[in-house]
Amino acid sequence: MIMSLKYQPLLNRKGFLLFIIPLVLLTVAIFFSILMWLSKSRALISQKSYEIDIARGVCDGALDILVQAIHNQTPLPQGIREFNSIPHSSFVHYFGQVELNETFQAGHSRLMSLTEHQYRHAFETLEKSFPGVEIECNLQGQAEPHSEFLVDPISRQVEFELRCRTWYASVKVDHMIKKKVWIYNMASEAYTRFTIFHHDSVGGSYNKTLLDGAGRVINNMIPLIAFNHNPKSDKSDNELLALKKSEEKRSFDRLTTSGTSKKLKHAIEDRGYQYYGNSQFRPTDLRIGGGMRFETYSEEWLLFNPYYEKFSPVYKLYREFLPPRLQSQYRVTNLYEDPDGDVEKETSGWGLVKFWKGGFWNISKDHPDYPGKYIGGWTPFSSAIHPFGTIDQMSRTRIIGNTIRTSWRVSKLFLDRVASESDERQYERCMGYDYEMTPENSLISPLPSLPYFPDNSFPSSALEPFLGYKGNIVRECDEPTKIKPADTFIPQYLFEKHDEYSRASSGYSFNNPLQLIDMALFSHDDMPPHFNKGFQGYTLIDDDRERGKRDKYEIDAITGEAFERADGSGAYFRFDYNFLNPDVIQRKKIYMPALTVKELEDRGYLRANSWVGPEIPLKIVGDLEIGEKFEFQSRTSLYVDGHCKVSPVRSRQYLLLNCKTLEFTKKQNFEKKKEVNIYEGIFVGRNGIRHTLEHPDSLVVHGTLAGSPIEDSFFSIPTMVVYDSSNDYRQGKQDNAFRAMMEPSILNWEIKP
Amino acid sequence: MKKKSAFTLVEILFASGMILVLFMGFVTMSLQSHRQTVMSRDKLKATFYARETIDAIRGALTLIDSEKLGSLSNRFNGDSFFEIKTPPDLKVDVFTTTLLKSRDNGLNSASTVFLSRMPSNFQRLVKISPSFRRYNGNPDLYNVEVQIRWKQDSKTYNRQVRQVTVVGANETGHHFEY
Repeated sequence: MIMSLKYQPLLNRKGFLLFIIPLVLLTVAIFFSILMWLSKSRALISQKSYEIDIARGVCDGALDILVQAIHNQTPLPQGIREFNSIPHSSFVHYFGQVELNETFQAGHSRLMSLTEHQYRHAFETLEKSFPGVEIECNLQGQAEPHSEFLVDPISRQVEFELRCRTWYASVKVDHMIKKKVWIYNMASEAYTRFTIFHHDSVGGSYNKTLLDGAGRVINNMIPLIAFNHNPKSDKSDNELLALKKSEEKRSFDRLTTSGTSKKLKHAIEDRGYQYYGNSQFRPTDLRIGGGMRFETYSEEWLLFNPYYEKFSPVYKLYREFLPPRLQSQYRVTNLYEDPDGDVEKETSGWGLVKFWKGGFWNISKDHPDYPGKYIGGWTPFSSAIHPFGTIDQMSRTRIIGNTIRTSWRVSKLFLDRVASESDERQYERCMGYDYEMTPENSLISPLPSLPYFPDNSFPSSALEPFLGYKGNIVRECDEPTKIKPADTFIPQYLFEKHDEYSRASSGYSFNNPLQLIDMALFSHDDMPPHFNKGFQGYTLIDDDRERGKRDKYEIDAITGEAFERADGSGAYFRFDYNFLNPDVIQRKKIYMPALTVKELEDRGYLRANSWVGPEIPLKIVGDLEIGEKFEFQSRTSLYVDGHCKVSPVRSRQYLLLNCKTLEFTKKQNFEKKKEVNIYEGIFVGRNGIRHTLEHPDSLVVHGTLAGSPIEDSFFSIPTMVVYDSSNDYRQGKQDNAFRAMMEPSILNWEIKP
Repeated sequence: MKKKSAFTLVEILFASGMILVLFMGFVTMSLQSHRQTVMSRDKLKATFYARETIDAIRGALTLIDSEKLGSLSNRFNGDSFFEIKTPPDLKVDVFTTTLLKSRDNGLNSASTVFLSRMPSNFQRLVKISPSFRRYNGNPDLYNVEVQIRWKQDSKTYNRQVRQVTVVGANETGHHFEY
């Protein structure tokens, strides 16, 4: 049998087909399954991505809410609220806790309890924006130890990490932000009281002390504050410091806690300031506002707000508290002139001072209510007291920045009326008007402080605003048109002749930066003014006078520049009567000898670690470098025409260092990484101030600092520099940044670095 | 007798029907997969656009001082959505838009953001509203909501993603250190 191989078509191989076709189908099925799986994966990825982004947006939002909450609850100095009003459940309170040293940690619930309700509400709203979103945040960080009370590194630096985790659907997002925040010590009255920042280098400057009606300082230990006010600025002065006008609680008591008051009181008084604290320890009640608090023998003191609307910014002193002389009756002569000038009557009687009002006033010649009057209106603008101080205590206030002083001193005396025929007639006439006539206020006599009327007489129109006891004004009344106070009204306390005083206290003058308002460079106890008994003028000691003949320099009071004197006369201070003359004070000269550093060393003034120089102003030719552990042991005023490089200096005496450029520096100390560099005195950098301290060393100036500009780096370390946000160095306005002052004659600071 | 090895007609018809049914299933799967892929891709894109927009707005709001921003009456203070349209005939992938029209050039430049070009079937809607205001009236926090909508197999916008966040208003004098 012949075997033949016949071709059989594949199709005909059923078995094979039954195998291959399902295989193909399976392959295709697998392919499509993979395709489906891939597309589902993509869908899952896109969904996950969406969920992640939702969680991320919510997480970032939560961080922003908490950062804003922390930011807004840690106010800058000018935004400081009353300390007691800050709730315990707030970030600033939390960060400011004494026990909060080194590290801290706050969980979500704690964090929420610290957060203000509106932020918490925003937080909850955000959480509800997507169903199922959960947010959990926590805070941890590190804080520098709390500053020693009144040592005045006023800020405390807190570094923290804020971490928020968000869960949404199946995803979790974890974001963290790191920040540093400066917490200002709001409990420090010294800081609050004596540190004022000015946002403009030009403006009015007024010293503020508490004086009685005779110009006496109520207490010898007083805070002395100067401030620049820029009348053109729309920024309210009272926003510069602690309290806002809208806040009803005016007492500074609220800036501190009762538990620390006692300590604070001693600390302030140790520094020579008068304490205005909690009632238990309060010798004087310091309040913002005008007027006098009768019961407590205290003045309501208009701090930093010369334009306070409701209260007259003058101080008022009642008879009981006037000097004994003014508590007794005075002989008063009133001169009455008929409007036609035909009749002139003189009435006289005994007057009794009811109270005394004093302060500075703006005068407007065209008061809208009194058109055509030569002097129509008055606007009280400051409770500043006599710019040259008093016989008891001269003003120690210095000016920060170039200032213009406009001062009017007007006093108001209410007198007993003495009945006479003419008086009765006037009384009757005046009754027809809205004027409350009583025996005590029927006559008014201002002190003759206006130079417009050299004969010491005043048209009654000038007085009209002052007649407004209880708001009433006498008009067209047959009152005397001129009131001439009797001689007994001239207060002998201030000047030998009252017209001298009035001339000096009324006027318009330009003042040099850092010039003492009362004296050039030194306070009154060095150089008493001429009205002090025994004062005959002041000259340098002989040596210095002789040297002054050789070193003939003077400083222009306006520009601050020193130049050689033209007349070649000797160096001396000219503190005669003309010094107080407002015409002269505008171009006051300060004469001083000029020496090189080598000459200073040769004379023994400048030593390795100390300065013991003559207590007169000196000009230093060239640069000056002051090393570490340097102490000024005598009252010192140096005008350096070069660069000053100053390490921390100690000065228990008055120190003024006025340099062309000023650099705060310190040799690097690797062993002590953190340290407070304390500079005591008044430091001026005419052309600029900077520091080269190593971060994070802090810089504390116990005194005054002024310069234009202040370099950016100055703000990069913890310092006592207080700045207004509008002058934030990041805003490029640092040229106007001035450190406000602390009276430098307070010499017993306790330094606890 | 010769054995027949071929399929019968019935067998072939049955097999063809089976294959057809399976093929139809594959086609359906394929279409579904494609649609899902497109949707996933679009959603991913939309998520990106939303995130990009949120980030751009966050950056812009951080740059602008809230005091200036708060004093302006503009869409930053509105409660309704506004659309940021991709400029027509855009040749590049990125365009700039100014969120805030102001006379102040500084504000204009600060509020100018870079955004990606979106396909024509996409729409970008933004709502920025103050969360609450500070005592001085300036906004302290902004609620920001972004919606990206797109059309898929439809003439109307039938798909969307939404993102929400809160942005802290920038304040002059911020005393944080970054």
